[in-house]
Formats: sequence, structure tokens, C-alpha cells
Amino acid sequence: MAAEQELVRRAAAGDADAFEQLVRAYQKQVYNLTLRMSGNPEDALDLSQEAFLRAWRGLGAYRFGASFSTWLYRLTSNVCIDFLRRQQREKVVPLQFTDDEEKERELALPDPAPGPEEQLMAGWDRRQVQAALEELEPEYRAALTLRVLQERSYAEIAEILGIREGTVKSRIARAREKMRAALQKTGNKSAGKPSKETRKGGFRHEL
Amino acid sequence: MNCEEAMELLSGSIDGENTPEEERRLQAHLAECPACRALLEAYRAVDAAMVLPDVEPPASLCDGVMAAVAREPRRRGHRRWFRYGAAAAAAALLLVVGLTYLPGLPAETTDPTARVATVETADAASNAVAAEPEDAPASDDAGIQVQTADAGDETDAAVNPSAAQFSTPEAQFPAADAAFPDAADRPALLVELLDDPEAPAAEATALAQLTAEPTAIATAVVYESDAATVRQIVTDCQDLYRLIVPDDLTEAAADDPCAILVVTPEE
Repeated sequence: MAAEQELVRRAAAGDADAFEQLVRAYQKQVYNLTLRMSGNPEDALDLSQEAFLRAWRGLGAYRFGASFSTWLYRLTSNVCIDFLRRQQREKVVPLQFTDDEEKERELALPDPAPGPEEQLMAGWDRRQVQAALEELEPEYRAALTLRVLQERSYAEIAEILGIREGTVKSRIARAREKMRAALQKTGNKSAGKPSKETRKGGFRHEL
Repeated sequence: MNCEEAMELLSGSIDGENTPEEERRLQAHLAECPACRALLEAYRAVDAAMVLPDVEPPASLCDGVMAAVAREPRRRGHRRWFRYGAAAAAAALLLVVGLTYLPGLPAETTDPTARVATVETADAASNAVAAEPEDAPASDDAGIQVQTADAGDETDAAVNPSAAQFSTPEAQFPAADAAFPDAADRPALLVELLDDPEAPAAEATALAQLTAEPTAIATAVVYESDAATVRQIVTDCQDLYRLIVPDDLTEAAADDPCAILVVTPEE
């Protein structure tokens, strides 16, 4: 940790070699967060690089005492959320095919289908899960991703996202509920199957 | 406890983040609510479906970052910002160029006649520093809200956003680099966060610097938005203009309120 603080101090003073060591130390974590947030390796690479570049530019503002990794995660989350918001604004209308050419182009997109080992975990395949994730608001996706995939505590997530812990808790709860509802729609066999009781309970669970 | 209350605690229970009291109440509810028990299992299944092993980043990640770092200019000092602004030209231009780069903003937002205002001139300023515009639309998607302000009173480091007169730029806005072939002539942009308790002071300081050379400044225009939008503007415009950006913009949450202060030097 002391060694890391020294690297941070040197990087803040403009030492690119020190910064490179920090990049190497954190690139896996950062990349995996951007990968889960964006859902594809190309965007994840861009977003990771943007996050590190912002870190380089922002090192002057880094306050020693706060964890460097939390600070870096904050930058990374911001980059991802900004990106996802931009993406949302761009797709105002759901994609619709107007002619065969467009249809072909759409179908020619890289297939994010998983390898067999990733398929059918818990009854859903990767594409269904990713599609459900992509329906979440960026802020919800960030909270859920940090919790479930990065195993951060609510307190850490609150610090990373700059929100209160109570907000973290409700966002994660709502994100899980939205995921469940979305996956239920896609026809999973195990989870989310309405029991007699939920049917009787009506929409009490539709939050 | 009803099921709606239980939902948040179900999630908290999975994460081990409930207080002992919350957990006790949740368990009592679960004991009598099969629906919430099913929901708990469903949430666990959602989590399990999301989990993936971490992957190694491509080698190009680090190389790309370091290449970009090598291209970065040296960090610019806050002190020098208004001097760049002293060279010339329309503040509105800067912002319009920034805004037209923003993808997906409603057309009216990027329409310069609707959104960008220049300040006629130098009525004396009041003591108010940038405040909420009264007629601002509440919607996020409205994007940029515009205020104008005069920095007229030479002894007063304040702007009056509410009393300004708007006028619309008439011409189409040319590309920034065409308008300002010499980078040193481009107007300055000061981006400042509004939610920082330090920010009003910083803003006043910036304006105080302006009034130290009052003849150089005709107008100050404040645009209000959120941090995500302003970061986008900064990203899009950093090669075109000299931007003075406080370091904490990088860290701000996407929807933190954020203002852009543009100072137009007197012609």
C-alpha cells in the first residue's frame, strides 16, 4: 500500500512510468468492470482506456487517504455511465428493420453468443442475461455490477458512485427485481416462475 | 412487513447488508410468505446467472493508455485561464460547437437560436452568482439550460444571471478550428461544479480575476447542466479550445449539477 501511494504520488507529479505501473496493477479490474457494464470487449477496451486517461488527467485531484482503487473505480463507473447514457440517447426508437439490407447488416453483427461452458447457467444463457442487464438504467447497472460481479460492499459502492448507502441498497434491490422480471419474460425455467402464491398476490411484487 | 418492504431486504439479505433487526423482520416475513421466499430464490438465481469469471485485458489496453498519456499536453494552470480568453470572439460559438457534438440531444437544445444567448452588454451586475433559472425545464433530456450574465460592474466580482437580455446569434457557426486558426486566440471555458461547497468561492475567485482586468471582459455566460454532459463537451472540445476544467469534474457523478462559465472578451 505504501508502495502504491508512492506510485500515485509520482504519477501525480507527472511520472508516466509510475503511472504505467498503476495501469498494469489495475487494468484487469478496470477492464472487467467496463466489460460487464458495456457487454462487449471493443467498448470495454475503449472505456478502460478512457478511464485511465481520466485518471492521469485527474491525479492532481486525487486525495491521499481515499483508496486509490475506489477513486479509480469511481472514474471508471463514470466513464461507463456516461457512455451508456449516450448510447441510450442514441437509440431513441427500438431498432426496426426497414429493409432487407439493414436486416442483413444487423444480422452480420458479431455474435456475442457464449462458449458452451458459459451457457445455461441457472437456466439462462449469457445473451439473455446481457440483454436483461442492458435494459437496466446505467446507474442501476453500475450498482448491481459492482455488487454482484465485483463483490464490493454497499459502503464501497456508495463511495464509488457518490451516492448514499441507502440509495445503493434500493438501487441494487430494484436492479435485481428488474433483472428477474426481464429474465422471466425471456422464458427461463427455474427462477421467476410465478407460483400460485405470487399469482394470488397479484401485482404486489410488480414494483 | 409487506412484500414491497421485503423486496429491498431480500436483496440486502443476499448481500449480507441488512441490520440484525432488518434481518429478523425479514425472516419473520419469509416464514409466512411463500411468494417472497420464491422471490429470494429468484434473486439468487439472477446473481448466479450474472457471475462470470474475470478475463484478462488485452495487451493493447495498457499500451493504448500510455500512448495517449504521451500525447497529453502538460496540465494547464488555473491561473492563466482568462488570459487565453482575452484574445477574441464569441462565447456562444464555443458552446454551440460543444453542443452540436452532443449525440441525441433534442433538436431544440442544439438549435443555437433557441438555446444560446449572448449578452447585450454591461448593465451593472448584482451580487448574485449563478442561480437556478426560473423557467428551466425539469427534464434531464432538456440538456443544457442557458443563463446569461453580465460581468459589468468592474468592482464587483459577481454576475447577475436573471436580468440578462438574450439575443440570438444570426449566423451559422463555422467549425471551431476554422474560426480560430490560432489556438491561442480561442476563447476560454471554465467548467465548474455547483454542488461543491467550495465552488461558489472558486467561482467568485475566477470572476474576481476577471474584474482585475475588467476591460478585457464583456460578458460571462453560465450554462447549467450535469457532469456527464459537461464531460462530454470537454471530451469533444478539448482539441479545439483551451478548456479549464477543475479536477473534480472527473470524479463527479453523472448527474451532479455542473455549470460552464464562458467568458467573452470585449472586442
